[in-house]
Amino acid sequence: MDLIDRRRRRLMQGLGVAGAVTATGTWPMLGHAQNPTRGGTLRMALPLAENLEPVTMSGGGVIAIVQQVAEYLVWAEDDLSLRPVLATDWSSQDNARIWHFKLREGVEFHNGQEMTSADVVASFRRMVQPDSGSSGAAQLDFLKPENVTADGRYGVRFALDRPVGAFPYYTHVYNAVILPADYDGDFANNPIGTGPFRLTDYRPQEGASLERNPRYWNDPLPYLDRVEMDFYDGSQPQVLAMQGGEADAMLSAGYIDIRPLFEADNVRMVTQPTATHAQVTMRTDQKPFDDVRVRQAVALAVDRPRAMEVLLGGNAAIGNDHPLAPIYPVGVELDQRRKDIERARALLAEAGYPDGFPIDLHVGRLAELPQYAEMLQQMLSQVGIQADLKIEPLNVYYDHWTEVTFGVTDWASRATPGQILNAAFRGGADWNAPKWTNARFDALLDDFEREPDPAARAEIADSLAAILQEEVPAVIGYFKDGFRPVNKRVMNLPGNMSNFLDLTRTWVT
Amino acid sequence: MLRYTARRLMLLGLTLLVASVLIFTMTTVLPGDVGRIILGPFAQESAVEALNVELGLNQPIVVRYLQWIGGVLQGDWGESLSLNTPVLPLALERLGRSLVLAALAIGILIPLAIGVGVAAGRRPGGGLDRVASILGLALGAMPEFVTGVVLIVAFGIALPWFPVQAVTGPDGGFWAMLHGLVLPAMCLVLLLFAYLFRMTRAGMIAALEADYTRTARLKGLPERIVLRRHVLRNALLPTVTVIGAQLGWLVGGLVVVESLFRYPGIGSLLHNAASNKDVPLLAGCTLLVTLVFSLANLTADLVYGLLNPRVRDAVAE
Repeated sequence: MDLIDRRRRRLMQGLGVAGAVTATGTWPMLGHAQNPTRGGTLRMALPLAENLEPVTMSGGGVIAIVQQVAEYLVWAEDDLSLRPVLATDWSSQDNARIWHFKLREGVEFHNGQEMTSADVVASFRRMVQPDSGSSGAAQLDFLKPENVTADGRYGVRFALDRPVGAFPYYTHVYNAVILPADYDGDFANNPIGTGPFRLTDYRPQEGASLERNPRYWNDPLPYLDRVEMDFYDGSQPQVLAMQGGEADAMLSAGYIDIRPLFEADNVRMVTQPTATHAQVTMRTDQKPFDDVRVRQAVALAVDRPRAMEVLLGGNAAIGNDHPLAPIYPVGVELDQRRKDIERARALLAEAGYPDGFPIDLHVGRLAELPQYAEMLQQMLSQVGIQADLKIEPLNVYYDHWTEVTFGVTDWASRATPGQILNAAFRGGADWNAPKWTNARFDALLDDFEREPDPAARAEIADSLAAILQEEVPAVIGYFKDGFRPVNKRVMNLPGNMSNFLDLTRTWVT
Repeated sequence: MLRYTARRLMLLGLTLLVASVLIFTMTTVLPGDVGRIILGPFAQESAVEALNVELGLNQPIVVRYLQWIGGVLQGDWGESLSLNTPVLPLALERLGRSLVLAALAIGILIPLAIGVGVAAGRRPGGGLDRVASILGLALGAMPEFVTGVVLIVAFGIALPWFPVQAVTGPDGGFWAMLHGLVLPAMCLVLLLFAYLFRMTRAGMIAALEADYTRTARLKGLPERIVLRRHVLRNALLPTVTVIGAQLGWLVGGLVVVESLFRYPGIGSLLHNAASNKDVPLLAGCTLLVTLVFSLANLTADLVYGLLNPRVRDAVAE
């Protein structure tokens, strides 16, 4: 019953009904709407991150800084609608293989230069060229550098290798900010973008100072005069700074770390349903997981509601072993897999493991994952599987995460389910850690990517999810909510399912 | 004394050289792949390999060491791999900050611990002795992230007397900086108090019971002079050595306190360099910390010599 209620709530949030309230970070004010005021300083607490370089950055802390200075063609809102930013309009031809983007005219970079198609073409080519080192290149593997071309001064044409119906969302991967065509690769010392704020000072491992861009194209935005972005090593100092009022907002937070802030008088919690999840991956090309019954047994041993309650205080949506989270409009309807020890034991016996087996379970030290692995160890022992935990520093885990037989990997939320399905489960994909291949799945995924009709997409999504649930290359137990603790004096600081940060409309009292 | 100092300085150079070799060798066993760490888990493998080649990480460790040490000797400490910035200015700036914090902590710690230690040592088993012993041991046994959080919650949040973060902004003056450093310094003082206090107290008790003290008293010297000339001078000798060793730790080992109070010192820089496998930065910082550590020990030995004529005469030969 409780589960159904939660699902319904999530569905409504996914449709943007209730989501609109939490997404803006302001509760509806009855009778007295407050008007934004100009000025003031916002102090953001960011997790420590290195490499302030838009093309290759991968840490949440530096991404948040770059996103104030430089902008994307579009911005994916919380309800998964697309807001035009540097592009005003877009359309596709040839079944979503060719895409045209019309650029906003009269946008100036911080150095006064006008932004034109040359800058957009150069930015995308820089990102997708081989060996750019950008994770954007891996995600846009269907785009070759030479296939991004200018179409007049204010138009850009993308010719994709295969049809991708959700391509506009791919222009919002975090590396895809638009930089000047003559960008020299030294962002920390020469930070030029079109964004609402200018970077005035960057101190490695300490933080950054930003000030309002007086020539921002979307006048009179932004409201804030200054933004101080401070790196913190770990979440405890961030929580203390929030309690002491020395930080106005945290970029992101795990439920376990920020529990004290739920009771703090000066803090409002912006919550956001996301598609962020942990994949418990099993190498389908190796014993014992080469037998589908073993993988199903593992999935049946997991008590999902309990894991969600213990690890996340219930702030999650239940997972059903496929990444098509409730936030996506495709709305997958499949029977929920539940804990069933007897069935799991029977499957193991059929597969030739009546007494279970010992196995190493690798996990990186990130958020709630080590605790999740401990719960898994205990749950699996009930069906005779003795998991030996290998809790590793992230550097070690990410060095071999696609090679381990049994691992727990964090997957960040994406704006379209196709982005996750392609990266994690397409046969032969780099990040397909289970090494799982299924020709029917791959063909359906192609159809899904090119299908423009929402009803048809939902139907294909059901089939894709059903294959994953049946085959279980990875157990997906929950999709966790994102949290953004914000001081009550801060207004309009939205949450974001990818932990992106948009401060253009934020103001302080 | 001069020859002794010169010999110690030469030894210092040798120590640094050995340390640099050790540091470089040890970095090879640090986990992770540098290119992968810089580009993140989701970059393509080919790009990671290309970056490793560009950074010269495919060369043998001996070649990399010789290049690095050659640069260091010429004043070029190389570029940090993860921060894209020259190592030396960054490390010196962070070292300066750590020294300020260490100086403040030592400035509070030494008079406090020695004062209480001397007073307690004069009357072992007395009220002050018991209170200071128990309190000092309890606080010393607590890890710094516990005392730090307690201090922050008590004097930063419940009673907002001090800022929660050590660095409040670039525009604060000297006093603002000092104000911000009180809590982290107190955290260190509480941690180190017990050790120094007990050393002083034990030294006092031993010196008070010594034959020379009895002789001094019997020949009719006033108590004040007995204490200053005979007791304190002997009682403080081991304490000086301890302070020298603690100063080294205060400059390089403050990772927890620095991250808790968000104070950008060299401890957190070292920690991050190690987790990012940033060899030039790690080696440079370690070299600087080793230098400070050795200098602190050298100073302690020299002060020891000044206080103790027996050592002074022995080294003057």
